[in-house]
Amino acid sequence: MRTAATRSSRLLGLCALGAVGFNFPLITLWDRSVTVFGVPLMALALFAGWAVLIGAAAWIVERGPDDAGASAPTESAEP
Amino acid sequence: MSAKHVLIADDEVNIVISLEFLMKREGHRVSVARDGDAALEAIRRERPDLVLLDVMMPGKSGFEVCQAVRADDSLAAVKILMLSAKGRDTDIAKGQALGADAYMTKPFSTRELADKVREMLG
Amino acid sequence: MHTLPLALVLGASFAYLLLLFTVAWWADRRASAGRSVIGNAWVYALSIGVYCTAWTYFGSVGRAAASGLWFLPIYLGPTLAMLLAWSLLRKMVRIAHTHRITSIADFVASRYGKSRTLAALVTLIALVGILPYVALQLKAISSGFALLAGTQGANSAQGTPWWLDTTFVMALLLAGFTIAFGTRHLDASERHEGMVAAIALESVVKLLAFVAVGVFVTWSLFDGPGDIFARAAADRSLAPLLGLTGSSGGEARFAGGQWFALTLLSALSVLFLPRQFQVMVVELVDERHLRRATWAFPLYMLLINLFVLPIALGGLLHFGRGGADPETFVLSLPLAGGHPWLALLAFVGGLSAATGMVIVEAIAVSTMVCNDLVMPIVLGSGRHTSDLSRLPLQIRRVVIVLLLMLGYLYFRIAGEAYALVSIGLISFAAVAQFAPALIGGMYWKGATRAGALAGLVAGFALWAWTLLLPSIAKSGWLPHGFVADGPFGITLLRPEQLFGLTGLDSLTHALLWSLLANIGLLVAVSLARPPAAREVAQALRFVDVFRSDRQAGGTATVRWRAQATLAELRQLAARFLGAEPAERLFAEYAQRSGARRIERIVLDAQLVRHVETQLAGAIGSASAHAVVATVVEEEPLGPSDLLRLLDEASQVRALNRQLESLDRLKDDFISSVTHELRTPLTSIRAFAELMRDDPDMATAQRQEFLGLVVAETERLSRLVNQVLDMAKLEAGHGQWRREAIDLRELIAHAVHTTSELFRERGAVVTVEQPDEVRPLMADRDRLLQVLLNLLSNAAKFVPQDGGRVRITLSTDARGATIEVQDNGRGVPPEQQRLVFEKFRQGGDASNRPQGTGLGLPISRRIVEHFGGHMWLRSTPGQGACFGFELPWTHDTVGDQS
Repeated sequence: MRTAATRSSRLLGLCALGAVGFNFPLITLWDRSVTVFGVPLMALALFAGWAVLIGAAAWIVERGPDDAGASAPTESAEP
Repeated sequence: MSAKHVLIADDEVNIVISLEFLMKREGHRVSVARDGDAALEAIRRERPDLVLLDVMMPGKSGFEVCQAVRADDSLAAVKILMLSAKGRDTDIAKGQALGADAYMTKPFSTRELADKVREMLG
Repeated sequence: MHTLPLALVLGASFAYLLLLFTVAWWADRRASAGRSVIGNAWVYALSIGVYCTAWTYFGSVGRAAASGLWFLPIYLGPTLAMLLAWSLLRKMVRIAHTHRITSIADFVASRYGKSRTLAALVTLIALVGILPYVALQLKAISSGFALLAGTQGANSAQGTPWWLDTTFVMALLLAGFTIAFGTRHLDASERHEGMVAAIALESVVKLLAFVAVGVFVTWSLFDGPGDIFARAAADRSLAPLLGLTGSSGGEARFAGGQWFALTLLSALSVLFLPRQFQVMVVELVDERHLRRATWAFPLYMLLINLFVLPIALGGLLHFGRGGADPETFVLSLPLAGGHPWLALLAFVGGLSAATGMVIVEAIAVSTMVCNDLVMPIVLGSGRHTSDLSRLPLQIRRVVIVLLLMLGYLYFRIAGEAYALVSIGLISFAAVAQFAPALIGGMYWKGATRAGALAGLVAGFALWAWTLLLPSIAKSGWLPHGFVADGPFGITLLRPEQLFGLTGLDSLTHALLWSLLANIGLLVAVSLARPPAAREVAQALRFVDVFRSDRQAGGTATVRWRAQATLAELRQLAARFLGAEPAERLFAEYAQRSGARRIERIVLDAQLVRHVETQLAGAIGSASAHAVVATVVEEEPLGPSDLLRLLDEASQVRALNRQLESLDRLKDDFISSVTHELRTPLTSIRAFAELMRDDPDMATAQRQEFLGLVVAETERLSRLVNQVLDMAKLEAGHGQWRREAIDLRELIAHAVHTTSELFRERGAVVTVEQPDEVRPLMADRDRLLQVLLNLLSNAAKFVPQDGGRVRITLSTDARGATIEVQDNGRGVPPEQQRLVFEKFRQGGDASNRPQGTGLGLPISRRIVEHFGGHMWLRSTPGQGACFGFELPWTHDTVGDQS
């Protein structure tokens, strides 16, 4: 049952995950002098992780029901 | 109980009819006034034993009539029973403060009214 | 190094700006034709890209060249913030749209009881805080321009007088451009469709240009990313840039804190920068667009940042450390690589980024200054007799110019000392001060105005002390000892090591102290004193905005304001919105509320609130509230609301006052109705009891009594129906039909219906009417009701056996007039007015015929519903003439044909 509330909590969880994963000290785990495909690990980890975060957000947001969100009220809709 | 003279002061025709019937059934002599001024004049002229006094009347209101009667010592023997559609505590208190002997709210119970009248007339 | 002809650079720049302007103009045209181009989630997401300014273009590269990956948190923060967009931002949007909030200052002020002081403070903080950011854009463009056109050295910022300084000229041009962009007309909702379209385009241009340069550097200048990184790793001075530790600004042990501070700061900024609020909240057309933006905008940031590190490293490798200013690598590398056109494209991209920021920011800030700073003062001074509809626009134009001039001033004073990124972060820290008051206000009902005020003042003061002043000092405008040793040598107050806290870089240090004080005071002062009545209502509205929207009608409380005159409100609206828009506003409202004509609009809390909301769009909610309050005498909240609010002595007193006045108003009507209802009930009961208690009552007597009972029952139900009728009419819930009515036929019908009545009284009825009458559009049953009422009244008052009633029908171009003249006693002048009031009955009591006293008021209501009016003409002793006129055409809403 995908409701707007589920979406909010998932996004919230993702945000918390990102906040923890992209901050010290966890982020220093990637800080090694290693290269992957020629790219230093730290840079790669940051960008790849970022892309994963974005992808996860897209998945959460686009898969949900197209809820009847409120449009910005026009003049005539003002009660 | 001897026959007494009761004055009915009310502007509503049908209420007067019913009160008249009721009082006559009780064996009293009845006269009628249809507004406050007529009521006061009738009280002074006829000196009834009891007045069934409606509050909302054209001309003088029942409160004013009551006050005028009580201000007149010669009318001290006249009993006053006030009748009104207004039943708030303030109105009842006002009536009693002005010297009414009793206050009943409309719609009234005919039995209660008859009992009260009997009580007041002794 | 190659350079480009000055004319070419200028020409390209102007051409691009012209393109932006054209797009904006086109989008505005489409919008007014009803075919908006920006009602699209992608456009919305792109418009948020205005977050990436010349800072991204030049500053990030510079930062990456100095500290490697430390440029990234500024984009990670907003990514995380966008993940919260669905909850936090959506709540902000819902609140803003519900309350017609058009700026951050409005938002904060509105939440805390529509406080003008708060609005002014927030505006001031925004204005001052944004100056470094504007300076940053100017600096970036000017250095880029200088590099590209080769005017470096010949025109350095410090050497030349300011009126010849290209940066100054550019600032003026930008101001003019912004004015043309955003102050052509006043929009009540403060939306600028053209601007949004232009910004979205500008985001695309930025991205493409930067990526183009990145691709060039990575694969043309070098052999791919692997090549760049390998060579960087081999260079000992560059290797640290590839990692995190060892490249931060402050001490290593605080690196985590600094990283976090940057992330937090940028997360807050993406929400609270005035331009961000403008594009994300004010310009949002559909809440569903937020979903797309949640990931699309972070994706945009990722793409535009992908090549920052390669470009930075590439530049360092190519030019060597100190060979060229890293901030302009994005221009110098293409130039060095023999691709001046690419450099031009990059410059246009950078120009694009800068102008986008300046336009939106200047528009947003000028709106705030106009609505929340200047207009309240203008209105407060009382000099507002003339038409004020042009004033807001003029104020905004002045503010835009002022903003750019002040930005230029800051650039001259402090611009040289800092790198671009550092300058920008100063602005970020300023707007971050809004966060506690705003977010706290949205989620904590206990946040009070006093708390917000205290927090903002403290936060702003500390920000100024720890960031703004040092930036000015370090440029040489204050004695250097100020920063190093503290003011007057008081080391405890050293701006960058306040109270002895050392080891942090200046930004983290400033952020720590300012947010600490801000949040601390917000919480402490809010808890110390309970909020005022109006604040709590607003708090409920804001925090519970989702909940109350699910109930019918939006906001759960409506304040009652009495004693506003319609005319004054119309005047007010005309003064601030312009005569025509105001007229439209009221006409629309009249239609919707069923009043049909503007003069007939019922004055109630809804209307007043509606007017206030519309005005808020033009002059800000704090000003609108103040202005409407001068017209209206405000009554405090109603009883049900007060039960939910804290109990202050003044509130209790207000409640009593209001109850008393309501009591008095209702007393009359209710006592009349109850009296009228009890009277027939009394006789019904009395007769019924008399019959019950006397089983031997004579049949004739019983029949008489029963007849009276029946008659009284009928009277009672007539009364009840009329009271209901009256109530429905007054509440506007009556059902009205519209049909063509033949008035001659209607009169004939009415006379026929009452013929028995007149025959009993021995009265004669005559009718005078034209032979042909055009049909009238109205409700036939209701009009018949009116006629019957008038006729039966006449029948009651004509003398017995000699009564004459004359009905006259006459028509003219405007409408039809019907008069009923009787030869009764007439109505004395002092009673003529009373006749149409509820429950008053004419004549004297002794021979007053049966009636309810509601007939005439209802008849008048009916006539007025159809746009007519009713009157009484009478001379005592010479009868009475009741008449009414009905126009042929009228506007009604809600009638069924």
